[in-house]
Amino acid sequence: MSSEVSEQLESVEEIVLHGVAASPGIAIGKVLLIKKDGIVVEKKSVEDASAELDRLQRSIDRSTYELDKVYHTAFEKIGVDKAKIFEAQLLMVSDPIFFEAIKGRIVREKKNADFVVDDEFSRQIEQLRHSGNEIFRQRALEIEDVKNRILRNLAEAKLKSKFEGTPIIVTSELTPADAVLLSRNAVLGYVSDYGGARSHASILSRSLGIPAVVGLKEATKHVQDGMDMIIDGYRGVVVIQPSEGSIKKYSDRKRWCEQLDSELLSEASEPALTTDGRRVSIEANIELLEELPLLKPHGADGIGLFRTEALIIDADSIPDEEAQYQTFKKAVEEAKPNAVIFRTFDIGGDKIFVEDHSEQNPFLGWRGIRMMLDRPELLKDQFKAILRASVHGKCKIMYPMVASVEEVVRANEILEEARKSLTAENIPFDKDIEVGVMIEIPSAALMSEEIARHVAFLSIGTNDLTQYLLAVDRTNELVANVFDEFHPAVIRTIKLIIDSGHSAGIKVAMCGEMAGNPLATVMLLGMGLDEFSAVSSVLPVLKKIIRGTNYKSARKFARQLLKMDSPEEIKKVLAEYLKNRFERIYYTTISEESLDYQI
Amino acid sequence: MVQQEVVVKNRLGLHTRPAASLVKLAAKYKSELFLERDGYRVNGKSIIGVMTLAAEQGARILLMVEGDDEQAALAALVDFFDRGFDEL
Repeated sequence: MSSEVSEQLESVEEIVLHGVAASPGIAIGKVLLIKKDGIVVEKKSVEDASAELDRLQRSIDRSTYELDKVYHTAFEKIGVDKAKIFEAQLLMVSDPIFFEAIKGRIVREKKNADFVVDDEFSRQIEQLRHSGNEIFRQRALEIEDVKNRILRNLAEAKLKSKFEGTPIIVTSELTPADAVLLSRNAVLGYVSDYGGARSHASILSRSLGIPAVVGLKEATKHVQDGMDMIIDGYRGVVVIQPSEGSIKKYSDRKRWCEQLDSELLSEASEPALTTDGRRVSIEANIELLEELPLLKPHGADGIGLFRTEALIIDADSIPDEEAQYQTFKKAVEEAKPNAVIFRTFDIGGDKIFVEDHSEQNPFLGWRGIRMMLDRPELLKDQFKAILRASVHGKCKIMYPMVASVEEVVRANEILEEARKSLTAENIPFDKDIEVGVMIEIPSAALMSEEIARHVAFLSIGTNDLTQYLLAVDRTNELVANVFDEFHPAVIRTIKLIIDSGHSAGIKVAMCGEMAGNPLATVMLLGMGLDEFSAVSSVLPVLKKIIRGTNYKSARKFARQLLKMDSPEEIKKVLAEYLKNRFERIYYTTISEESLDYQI
Repeated sequence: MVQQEVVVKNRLGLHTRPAASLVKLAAKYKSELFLERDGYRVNGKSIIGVMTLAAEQGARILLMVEGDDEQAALAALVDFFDRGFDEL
């Protein structure tokens, strides 16, 4: 290598991007860029229409073959329910009437297949977009997917689903179909411009055990095929064209992270028992059935939050009682002998809208239990589905977004109606099913002792509680820096809720983001929290911390923290504690300057 | 040709799953099938066409069937709508 070339290589600056940590793990490898956009359709006149018809047929055949493969892979890997998404697309690529019309136009107008396909599909998509109904507008995306697949195959630009080596996939947005198909090959990691930790593809990455960093905004603009890349799925960091120093650091970090992970996993089934004998429960937040196989290996003591609204996102519609029952039954059977807490549909806010309706202040609007109480028939169906599932294992029910005692009383009445109608139909269910309430609105926090008298448990939702207490819209970038769950007001409110539950003689859980933050574990334990519920991958970490902590000391520590008046001070003290007591956990999950650590 | 007006009864409307079932049902008959809503007409043997009707609960749709087995086809289709696409 000439000195000039080596100088050029030396001068390449590494680029560090920060995104969302979507799936834990570290990968060091080479980029494979998958471009999604950029299909340019030209309008051309053709002499030989029959050649265009042949091209179209080859594209249809190829698209059918691809979708069939995606369908079968999905079927094997993630089950029949998810595979149905792809079945509808298979029907569309074999729509005889639609493609006859396209072929007719190619022959009559003597235009290239690409143009006619684009034109005909776009017309249908426009038609659906004009629908006043959100569900049908969503369907336009499915048709758009099919259109792009046909166009891509017409351009004979094949999806690079077979490739040399084991690359890191970089793409603008990973679709579930991509995640499944790519998993057939050895893939080191996923990086994408869009998406969040709770997007479908991120959840799939976690269940497939592939490190992922998403929401990087413009990762695709900085990379080319074959470039070196490091991704840190624990902290959401991507390094493009890393220096030798970075590669060395991350290789070391990868080694000890993996060692820590395997240590943590090997102890995960041990109970979360403090050194002085206080037992707490460490449970999983579950969004999709694909996450269920993670419960046992991560040592989950049950499911502390089953987000039922994921069923709606999946089906693009509200599933009926039977469909809900079938899903709930699977979760209950998987969690046995532990319990599953089903949270009734929490629709609205930043979550999905079932129907086309918009509000000026959706976070202060029609969402959670408010919406369900206005549509009691939906709530009753859901109650019946949960009650029916309760014969297969232990179930609990939880109401989201409760603001007052009356709402709890009213929801309990509807639950009673559901019980009565099942009894009348002679359908068995667990008569002693426990009901709880999510405490995430300040009014409910203040009234938590009164609310506690009507239910069997409370569960604190920290994301909404923080946003309502501090009057910060967490999706608004202008004020996002003010959003801080370690604000003393939030911490003190959490303590109030825990004490209220305990004086009513019931247990208090937390299923918000904070429950899974290792920084907060000792504080929450010390404040008396009984149950922690968080994403599965973090559960072994929580257990490790709790097993290494003395409850009496934690209580003393929490009392000190509750006296502090600044979030920074609280976080600093907690970070120091974690660094001193659980050094490797601190360096994996919290620290920004973690890389000098050696085994 | 025979025709009859039907109403979409199920809560979710004529979404992907019932559209697929409808197209499969229509394919069993030789007759041609058209669905018309507010003057917008689609071929009942095309899933993409049927989806673009965006027929929600309560939508009124005119079924038009023409062919040797039109009576049987219309009866089967009307029944399918009456059953709320088996989603009631």
